[in-house]
Amino acid sequence: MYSFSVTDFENWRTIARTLLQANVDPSNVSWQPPEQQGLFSPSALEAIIDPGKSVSSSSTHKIPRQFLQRAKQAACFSDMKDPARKWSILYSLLWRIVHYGNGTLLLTSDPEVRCLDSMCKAVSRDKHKMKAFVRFQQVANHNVAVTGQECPEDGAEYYVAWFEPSHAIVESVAPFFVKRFTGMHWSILTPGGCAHWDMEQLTVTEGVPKPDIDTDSFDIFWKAYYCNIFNPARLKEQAMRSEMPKKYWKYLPEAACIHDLTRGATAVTEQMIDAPTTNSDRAREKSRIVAQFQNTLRLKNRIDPDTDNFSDTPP
Amino acid sequence: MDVLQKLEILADAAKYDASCASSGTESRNSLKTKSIGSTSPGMGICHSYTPDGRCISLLKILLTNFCLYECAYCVNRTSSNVPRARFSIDEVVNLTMEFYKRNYIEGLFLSSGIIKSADYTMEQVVAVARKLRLEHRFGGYIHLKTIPEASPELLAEAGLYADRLSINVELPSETSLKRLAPEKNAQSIVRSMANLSSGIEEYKESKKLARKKANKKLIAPKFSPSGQSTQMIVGADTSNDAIILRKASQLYKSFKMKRVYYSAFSPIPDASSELPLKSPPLVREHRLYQADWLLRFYGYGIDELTDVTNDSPSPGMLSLDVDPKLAWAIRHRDAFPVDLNRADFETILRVPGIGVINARRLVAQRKVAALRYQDLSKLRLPVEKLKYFVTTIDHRPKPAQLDAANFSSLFVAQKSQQMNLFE
Repeated sequence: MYSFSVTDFENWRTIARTLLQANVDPSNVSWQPPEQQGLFSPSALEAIIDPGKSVSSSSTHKIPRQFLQRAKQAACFSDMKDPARKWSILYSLLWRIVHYGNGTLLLTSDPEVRCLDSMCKAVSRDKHKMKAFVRFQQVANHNVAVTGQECPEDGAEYYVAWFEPSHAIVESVAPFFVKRFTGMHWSILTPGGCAHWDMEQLTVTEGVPKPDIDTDSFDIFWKAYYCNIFNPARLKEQAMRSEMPKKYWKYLPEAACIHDLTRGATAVTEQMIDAPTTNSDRAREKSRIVAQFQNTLRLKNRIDPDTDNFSDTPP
Repeated sequence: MDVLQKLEILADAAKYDASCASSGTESRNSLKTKSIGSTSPGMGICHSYTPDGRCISLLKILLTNFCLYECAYCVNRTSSNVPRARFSIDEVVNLTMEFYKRNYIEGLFLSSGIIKSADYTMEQVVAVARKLRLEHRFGGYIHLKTIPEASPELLAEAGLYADRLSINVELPSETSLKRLAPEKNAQSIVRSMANLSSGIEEYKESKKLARKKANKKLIAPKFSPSGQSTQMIVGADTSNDAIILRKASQLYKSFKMKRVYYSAFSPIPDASSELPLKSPPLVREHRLYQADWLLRFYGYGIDELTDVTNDSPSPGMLSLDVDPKLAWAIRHRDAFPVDLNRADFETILRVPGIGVINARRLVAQRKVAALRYQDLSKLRLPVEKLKYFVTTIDHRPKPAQLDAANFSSLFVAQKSQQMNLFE
């Protein structure tokens, strides 16, 4: 029985490659989270390989790229209860691909394939939600210190966001923010790692506890927009909650408005339905300019030669 | 009036436009320009959801809600007593940039009431996009609502800055349009959609050619890379679902619309006496979206989906109780059960509860091993619905069930009760 503690995807990949070459069956490997001291350190890996067998190209296996991409994605998955389970599933699948063919990944009802699928899905959803719900606050100069970074020399604006992703995705999502907010100094702080951009370089640092950041005065505008783009006559609270689960609300300044909007919706709608209606000639009767403008257009529409069907062939 | 008050009025005025899409455009980022903004051709990002379940992806506002038109269904029609406001160009540009920098939005969706003239209004709308793109080198998404009567030069400039242009068809028939929106002209709407369509096509073709010849110089000036879309109001006139879907199909076909949005006519503050006020037909709207999807991606015909039987209580309408695919299957029980191990892809696609992705999965998986009933639940398919319609090597529905006169009530009973609660 071999035992390994794995730090990250690249580390797993190195170990897995060696194990495959030495033809070690997945049932003979125990995978451990990084804090546990493994019986074998990666440097002792060579010991596994049969010294009589040289590591040549003939003993390297062709692994489908699709699997490696998904494995890399799944490697971000954090499983609180069993943090090293992902490594053992990945190795087992790798083993099966090598021995039973690429078709293994098509067995969508196989427990391990499904587990890989669900890990990838969870990570990809987490990344997507992070792109959506990270909210930058513009911070005053004295607040830049919470990021552990220097103030921009030219006194440029600095933006900070606090976010708690469910999986280890900060490094893989950071390039998205770099490409989008290239012309801005920013830091995204999370408990598992932080990303900083100084308009030249991306730096990734250790995670931090939740910092104290003053609220951005632009929140008011955003909340006003949120409240007014909502249509109370179409209240569907459940649909909102399934797309924007409550766990994200703490990042969203507009979430403070949800309660009142929802509670008042029915009354507002009833009011709209019960209110007296307005005569459509009101404005025409009051203003000659309006009447003239509308008459010109109405006349033109009436004498339009193509009065048959609403045809889709342009004249 | 300050910007905050204007924002309240002009967001309120914009909420009846259903579109908020920010996907399907060209891939862009700010690495070279060192500015702000990116887009991706893939999935759009929804930065928030309002309690009506709608996504907020764009800052959707009107430049002004002053309007000279008297469209009966519209909150901004001339005769309406709603408060009025007008943004300056800089105010919209500034709000867009500040919202974007905080990661609130993917971009801007700008529309406007008609003031002075079509060209004057369109010029103002274009000026906002021009400033965002040229002065701020803004790389985010821009959707501009186009005024059908505006000049071709303005449309061309709008297409240069916008990811998407759209013109609302508003109503499914010309008669309805004349009655409810007397200042709008059906012919000029059609003409402008055709213009957009050819501009979009030309740009796309030039990109293809440039790629083929490996010569970037062959690319035509940019024109609305994310195509065009339109919106139809449902429930403001008496058109049935068949008429609405036929109109939508024409629009998809003639103008290669990316999307036709259906917007349930919703009560508005200070409504017109021309239209009956009631709760928006949300279930009907939902069924239309489902039918639209089936028409475009599942190969159904309009007559297959809407109820064409003469003695039907609601001819030409989609069933409200069950989704249109299930309704079709219930009407065509002779085509079932479908043998999942033998049937071709198109046939499997017609089984209620099996979508495109799962149909593909089933076809791939049965090559490895014959499908068993258990495999269906492992794929998280809705077996409770599915079990009546499919056979696997270890499952076959009882013929009596499918033929039973009360078969459809198996699906309707619970659901319609739920719907009553929400209606």
